[in-house]
Amino acid sequence: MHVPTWRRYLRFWRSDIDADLAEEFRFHVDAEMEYLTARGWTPAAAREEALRRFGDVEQYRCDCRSADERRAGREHRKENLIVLKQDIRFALRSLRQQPAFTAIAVITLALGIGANTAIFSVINSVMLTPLPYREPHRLVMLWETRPGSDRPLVSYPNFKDWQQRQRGFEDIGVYYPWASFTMTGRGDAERVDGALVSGNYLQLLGVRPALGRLVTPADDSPGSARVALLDNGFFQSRFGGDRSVLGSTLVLDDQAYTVVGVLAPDVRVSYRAGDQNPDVVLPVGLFAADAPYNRRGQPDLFAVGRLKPDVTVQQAVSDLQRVNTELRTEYPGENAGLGAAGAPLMYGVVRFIKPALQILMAAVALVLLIACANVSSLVLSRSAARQREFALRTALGAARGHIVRQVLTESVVLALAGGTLGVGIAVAGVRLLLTLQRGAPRLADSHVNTPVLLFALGVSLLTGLLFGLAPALQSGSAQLVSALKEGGRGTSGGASLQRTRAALTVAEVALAVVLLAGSGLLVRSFARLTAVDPGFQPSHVIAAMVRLPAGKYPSVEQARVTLDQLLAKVRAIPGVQSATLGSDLPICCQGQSTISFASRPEADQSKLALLNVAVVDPEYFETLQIPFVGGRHIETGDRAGAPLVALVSERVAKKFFAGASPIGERLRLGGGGQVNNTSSWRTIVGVVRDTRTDGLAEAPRGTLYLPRAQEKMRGGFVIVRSTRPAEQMTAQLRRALAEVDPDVPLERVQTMDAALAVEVEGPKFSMLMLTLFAAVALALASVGIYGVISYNVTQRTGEIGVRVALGAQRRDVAALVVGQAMAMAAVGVAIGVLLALWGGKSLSAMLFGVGPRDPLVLGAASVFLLAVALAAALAPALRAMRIDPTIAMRAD
Amino acid sequence: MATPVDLLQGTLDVLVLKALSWGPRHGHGVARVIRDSTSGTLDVTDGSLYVALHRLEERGLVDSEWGLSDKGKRARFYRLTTAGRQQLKTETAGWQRYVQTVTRLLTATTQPA
Repeated sequence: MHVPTWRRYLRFWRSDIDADLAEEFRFHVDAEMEYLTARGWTPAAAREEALRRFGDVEQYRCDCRSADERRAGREHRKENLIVLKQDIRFALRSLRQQPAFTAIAVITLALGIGANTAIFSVINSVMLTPLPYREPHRLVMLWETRPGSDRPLVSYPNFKDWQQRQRGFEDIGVYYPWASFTMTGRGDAERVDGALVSGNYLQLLGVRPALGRLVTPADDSPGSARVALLDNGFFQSRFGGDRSVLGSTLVLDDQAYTVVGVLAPDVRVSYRAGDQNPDVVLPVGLFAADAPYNRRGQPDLFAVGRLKPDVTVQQAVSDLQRVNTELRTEYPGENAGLGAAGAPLMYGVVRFIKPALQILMAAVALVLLIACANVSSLVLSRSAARQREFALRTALGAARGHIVRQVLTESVVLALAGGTLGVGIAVAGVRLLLTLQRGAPRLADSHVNTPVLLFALGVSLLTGLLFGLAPALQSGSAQLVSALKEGGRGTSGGASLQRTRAALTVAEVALAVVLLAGSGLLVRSFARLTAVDPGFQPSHVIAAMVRLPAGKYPSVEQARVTLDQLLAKVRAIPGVQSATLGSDLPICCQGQSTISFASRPEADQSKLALLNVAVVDPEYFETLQIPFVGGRHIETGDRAGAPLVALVSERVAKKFFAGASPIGERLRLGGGGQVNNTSSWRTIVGVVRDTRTDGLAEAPRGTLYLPRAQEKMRGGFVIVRSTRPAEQMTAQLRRALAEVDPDVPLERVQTMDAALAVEVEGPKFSMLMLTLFAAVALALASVGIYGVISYNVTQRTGEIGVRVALGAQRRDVAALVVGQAMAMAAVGVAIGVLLALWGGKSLSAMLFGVGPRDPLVLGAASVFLLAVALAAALAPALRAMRIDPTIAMRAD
Repeated sequence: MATPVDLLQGTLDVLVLKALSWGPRHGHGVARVIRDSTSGTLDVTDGSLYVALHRLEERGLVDSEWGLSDKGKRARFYRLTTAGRQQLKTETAGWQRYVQTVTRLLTATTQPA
């Protein structure tokens, strides 16, 4: 049976209710007996009659008791509410009386609670909110594993075989988020972003169309009628939400597609980090016969599976491994070393941002702890001043429990005020986070909503109890006599109070050291990261993508001529030092392919070469200033029909030829040398330096450069080195392109400096945030030190006066005060360094080129904190030095 | 007032309120007033009066405090609260309407049209 809370209190006076009832009943029976005996009954008969008239005593006792208990419970609750109201009113009054104290405490708490709320709202939206799909817990991201490859992708032919032969999933679907098309026939040519999806993909996610229908498996083969699905945002912005677009024709890359549906507004086609919704969604099957989707050895698609009920990810993946065994035998070349891996879809969303968010949450928790310690210390010093008030109230009969409750109420009121202001800070903070880190997955969905508000409320209450505990206990233990006595001699709060405050300050310093060390590590790591030589000269270089649609340029030769014309015009622009064309930029992430070398045994699968591949013009290396190592450059003679050549980066020579010169070696694209490989052999003619093509923090896997003249290419990055400002160059570039073909848009215009900056955006974000929190922690800790020392000086004014009177030098006085501050700081720093050493490991995943226990960083953090402590102690020390012994001793 | 028990309970409550309307009384006093004024017509046990008193107290219609009886013994005295007085007025009026209606029908000498 459920026992209401008030009943538990009731046990304390249940005996009263029972005793009262017994007495009342007894009185009744006695009175009735008296009444009857007065009318001539014998006492025995009267008693019997009185009891008979009363009826079933036990039953009535029971009924009366439950009525009494209900009344008592109600009154108890009412009383509690009244007391609480009184306590709150009293707390508000007493906080109003000290506006400076209240303001500092509220602001400190607001900073702590606000930071926590802001970070929690991000974590809530990124990690805790379920993905917007049907039964998202059963969705699994799947990918091929291949020796040397770490991209979570699958090739289209392998996907088809997985789909047909697997048994662990209800179905598997794939998508490609980065397609792009030129849309014509509706005003100016414009670039639209597209996603390619397998016909079952959207049904598998469980998303809905707002209009029309989804793409279905019937649309999903090379011969199907061409259909397209519009994203709701694109439907609204480009077509003004006009329903008549349904059934109309969309011309993309000179192919006509029928619009069959519009996605619902909240649908996200890609679960992946930072992927914007595409404008159009097309069936990938339409392209299944074209490269790269016809290449089994070239993984390009993201796969998602929906688990059958009661099948685990591991079981489903090991079933895929069974399929892979077959696929390796059937396609020994392209599927050499093929494996499979899978993880819950949420893992795919959070895997890059999770460590950073965890660190940030830990950091803001530390900031909040410091804020707590600080306010606790403030409240303590205030309660020292109130020691007399408490003692007096105790003497006047206030229960010790009441005073403890009063102090706690004040703390909770303070914390709630801080929490309210903190929510405001969090709203602003989330907005700031969004501007700092646009690309992070689902971050844009972050806002302060109900769960976040509940979190803020919970944190506020907890905070209030936490920082209120020490002062409450302290006030409760106020020794009546000594407090009144001490009170008679000034405002000494007692030694134990000072000890508590000192301990709190030491804790603040320790936590601040941890935060400072953490941010120091990230700053150092970021410095290392940005100092990495990318392998080329990024300054004064801009790049923009140009793609000629196959519909308008059916022959590659036509496209080649047009691109050459464009380059000639660009080179003629004043200020252009060098211009070139390349399929990829020398940064992350280039296209990849497996490579087989003629001189190397195919059987050695573990060393199968997976290299970055870039198709470039001869001037590529000059424009980007990628140093040349040996052999010869790509030359104008390396054209179609001439012997096929290639350049490799140094890494390839080191990895596959043990450092010996690879010049003269022959290679071809694609895995094994068996039946399925139809690409031709090429000869390596030169070696260039590596560029950081796999992220600045990663050693590059090595790049293979092929001359554009020998490849089929309808576009790429126009890369220009010039002395002119980037905006000016961009305008000139647009003009040049318009002269060549006004229907082709200039895409992804960027300076190489900016492109490199994007690569360090994540680490930069973490570094900035952690540094911000460390700064807040430092400020709070210094205020804490200042408060304690300053208070101490006030308290010891008399003692210092005596010392000076007895001949102590000003210098000694200052040393006394500063020494005390430095002692506290030193203990705090020592504890903090130990904590940082212990906790540093958790940062190691985010560090580059610096260890989690970097002595330089720890040393710097320690010295910095000691310096801050010194600074915080200076003002009180100066005040102590100016103490006039005559005045001080008289005042005492 | 759907069932006889409710009728009895409700009636008992009114009688108790009425007994208290002349001033504070302990439970025994209430019992005596009811017994005497009804000459034993109503078969009410004394214990059920106490249940009525405690429930009326729970509903805030009566108040109680401990005092001394005229014989100098500790006894629990009940008195009407303002709400109780109001309740008595309402219930009395309702009761009278009920009785008049029933009486009018039961004492009718001519068949109603």
